[in-house]
Amino acid sequence: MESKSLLPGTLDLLLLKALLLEPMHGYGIAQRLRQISGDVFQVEEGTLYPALQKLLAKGWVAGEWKQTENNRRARYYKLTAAGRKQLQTQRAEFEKVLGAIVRVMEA
Amino acid sequence: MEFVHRLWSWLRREARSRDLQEEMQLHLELKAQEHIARGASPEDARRQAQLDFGNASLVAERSRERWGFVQLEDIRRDVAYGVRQFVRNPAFSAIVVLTLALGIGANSAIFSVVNTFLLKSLSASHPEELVKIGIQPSGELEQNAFEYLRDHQKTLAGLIAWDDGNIAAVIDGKPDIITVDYLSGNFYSLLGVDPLAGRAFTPADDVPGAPAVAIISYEYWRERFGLDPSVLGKRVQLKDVACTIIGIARPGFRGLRTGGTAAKITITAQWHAQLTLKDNTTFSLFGRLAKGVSRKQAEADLGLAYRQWLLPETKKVSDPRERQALLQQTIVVSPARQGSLEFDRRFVVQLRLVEAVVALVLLIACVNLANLFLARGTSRSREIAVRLALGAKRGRIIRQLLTENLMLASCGGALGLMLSVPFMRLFALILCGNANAEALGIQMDGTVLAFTAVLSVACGILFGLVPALRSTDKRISPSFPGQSTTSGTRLRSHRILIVPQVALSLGVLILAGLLLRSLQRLQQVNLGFDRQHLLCFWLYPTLSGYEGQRELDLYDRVLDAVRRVPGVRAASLSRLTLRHRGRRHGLAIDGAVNADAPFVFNTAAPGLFDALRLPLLMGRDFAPQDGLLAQSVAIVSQSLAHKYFAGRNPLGRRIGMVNVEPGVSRTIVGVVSDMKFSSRDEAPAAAVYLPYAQAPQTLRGQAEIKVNTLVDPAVMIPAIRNQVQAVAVDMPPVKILPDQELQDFESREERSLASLLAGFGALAFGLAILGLYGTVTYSVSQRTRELAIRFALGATRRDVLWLIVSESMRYVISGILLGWSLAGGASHAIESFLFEVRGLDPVTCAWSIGLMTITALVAAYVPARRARRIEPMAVLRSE
Repeated sequence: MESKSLLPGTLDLLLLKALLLEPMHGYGIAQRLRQISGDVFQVEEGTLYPALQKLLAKGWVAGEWKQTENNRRARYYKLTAAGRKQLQTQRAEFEKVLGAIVRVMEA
Repeated sequence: MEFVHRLWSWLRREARSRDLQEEMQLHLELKAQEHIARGASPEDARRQAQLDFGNASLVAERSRERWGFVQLEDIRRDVAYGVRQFVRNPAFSAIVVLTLALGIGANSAIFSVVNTFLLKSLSASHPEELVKIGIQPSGELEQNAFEYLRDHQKTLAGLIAWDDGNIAAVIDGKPDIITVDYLSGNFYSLLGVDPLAGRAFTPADDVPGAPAVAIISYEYWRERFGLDPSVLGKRVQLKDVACTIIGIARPGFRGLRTGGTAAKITITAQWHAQLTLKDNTTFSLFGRLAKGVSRKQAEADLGLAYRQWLLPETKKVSDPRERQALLQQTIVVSPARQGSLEFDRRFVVQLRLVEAVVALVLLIACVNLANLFLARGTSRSREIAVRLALGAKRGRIIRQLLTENLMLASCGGALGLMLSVPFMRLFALILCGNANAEALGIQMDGTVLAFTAVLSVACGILFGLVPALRSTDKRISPSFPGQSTTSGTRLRSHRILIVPQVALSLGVLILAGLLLRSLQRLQQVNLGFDRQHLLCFWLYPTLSGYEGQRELDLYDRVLDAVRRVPGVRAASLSRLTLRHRGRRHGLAIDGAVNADAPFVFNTAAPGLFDALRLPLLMGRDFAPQDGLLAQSVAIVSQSLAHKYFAGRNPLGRRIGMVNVEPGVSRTIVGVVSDMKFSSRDEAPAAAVYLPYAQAPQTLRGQAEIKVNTLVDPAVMIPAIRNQVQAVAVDMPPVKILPDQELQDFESREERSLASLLAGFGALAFGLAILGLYGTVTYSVSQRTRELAIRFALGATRRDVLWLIVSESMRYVISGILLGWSLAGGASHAIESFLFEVRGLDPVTCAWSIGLMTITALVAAYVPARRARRIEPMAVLRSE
């Protein structure tokens, strides 16, 4: 990923987390990420799509074409059971690493 | 899971792509609306949305990597691109493929010969356990030694005795001479092989008193019996032994050989002594190591057993020299995974040398192709430069170019595989004297296929990698060619390839020249007797059951019949073939033993010297009355007489061959002029001739008949054969040859090596010259601007011509010097094939180097002449 403001490997985690609440389409996910992070993540929004294709391939999310509120056709991504499990694993992993980094920085 | 998804996505990649496009489109639109809501103009909003989104086509590309198999997809695209390239340049592709096909075909063929004879394992179970039992420093194993070892060894799972030869077989009343293998009864069970039909030998078939049984080869079954299954149980008369056919071997089964022709019939070893020629009493021994026994252990065990057998044997030997030699014998156990490997070292040298030369031809061809691709790389460099500028990675382009080359190489390899079949027949004919490669076991198998595949890929990389690396190197590749370069590193590296080409082809040329010159010398050797009008043929009466006086009567009948044929001037015989190379030692002159005296001996019927036109200098020829019961007499050669009776009259003196016939003393009745027994003899050997009726036991049973004709001997062959057939009804038809062919046969290895080296040397030479021509042509075409400037500055046409030719010749001369020293090193390998020509024979070298220099000059001059036609103004204006 060519996102300079993201820790490497965290995009998957962020996507899975964003989808935990409700199924969303690509634009929605981009909006959500920007909102939650308070504009800290300056990702080229296009990079979401290869990442989403990867999650699809792994079977962590499922895609479904539905109508938007404005009656446009859009693909909504939904977390699968495998995706939930993956989110937990990745989250635990991330917190472990983050905790370690924090401890090192504060020592 | 992921694989299924990939496969599914790949199958539906069109739909996936549409979905993604729609998704991204929606994203951009929503994004644009967002910007409009913030007050941007529709124009700016769209632009801003695109900036936020990033490179959409890159995103699509990245997403696509998740669908299907990108690597495979890339290869498919490279292949498709390559095919388009080839279709665009059919002549170029055809030349490349054909060159490779010839080179690879020849290499596969020679490899299949090498594989058959030197690499392949015997078709037996666990061939790696097989060992050969031999004797060092020299000696052979007699039948009783085999039996003693078989009964006293403790380290082998079994010991096999094997000998091969010819046998006279009468089948359905028709006599014929066929090849035979004698094998001990445990052979089939120990090797773990079954016959195709019938049963194999068992040890019980190989004990005295057991009925004679035989197994025939599949090939003989097909040729002689037309695959008739009723052949099992058929009676075959071998001399005085009635033998029953009990089995048919599998197709291609050759006993202990991996290549060569299979013996037509196999019988048990117990019949060996009764059925072979009298002077053949030895066997080759093989065995299978028992479980957990090493070769060293087996060697110690067998060595001990052999020693026990040897000690009583040595007491029977009177000659101290021979006794000493016997006592020095030790047993050697060597691996025999490949069976007997019975051919001599010269055959191996020959095979390896031809293999090396054929590989050289392919190497030179690859260097030529690399040159060709370098030149093409330049013409394609605009395409490559554009692709590099558009962001293609260098590795990707190299892979693309390599794919193209590998495709060409694979096509060359596939075609080469087809061409290798005729090549195999050619090699089989020249190296083994039999064009039926399959009958010799030379065929395409997995190993050869793998070799060809590896070779093709290696070729593709070899001639493809350097040009691919160069044409994608931005430092060298001029970004927009079409302009000519000046002579720089590019051209130099191009020209440097001339050096190995010239060197390698000159090396081969010199070797071929040495062999041809040596052959010519061999042809010119004067053996001392008249070869022009001589025919010869051989009789093996022993094989048909003629013994003692019956054998002598048969000879007399045959000689009388032949002498009656009109056009025959004289006919006679010797018991050993006249051109044997055996040297004996130990002469007793008037009772005084000279144990070191070397000599050659043979037996002669009356009239032999007349038939050979060898003048009798003193005394008399043998006569019919010199029979078995008459006085023992001998005729000696001039050089023997000169050596031992210098100046005195040898007639009436006594001579004895202490090791050939101990205790026999012969009276010298004649002196005959010298002859050489082999073309390679330095000087005529001292020779002793005995009357044919008084031949020692070991010389009986066979004879070489020499017929001197008044006319061209070849036309007399049918008449003589008919006469022999008429008086020796139960003898198989004989093969009659002009003596000249015998001479050719003697030098057949030199001849085959010379013809192969000359053929492939010429090919290498041609390729090298072609390469030189191409290089000079290319360099002239690349340097038009530089040359035009030279002209404009006042250089004459002659100057420019000289400049170009001399630049190339610098490399040619380095190549010649290198090739010359290469040939010097390689000539040691063929030393045993050379006769009266030493290492770097000045005449041969002068010819080869002269030929190379002149041809190279022409090859450089012709394209250089084009430079003279450059119109300086036209060229400079166009740039």
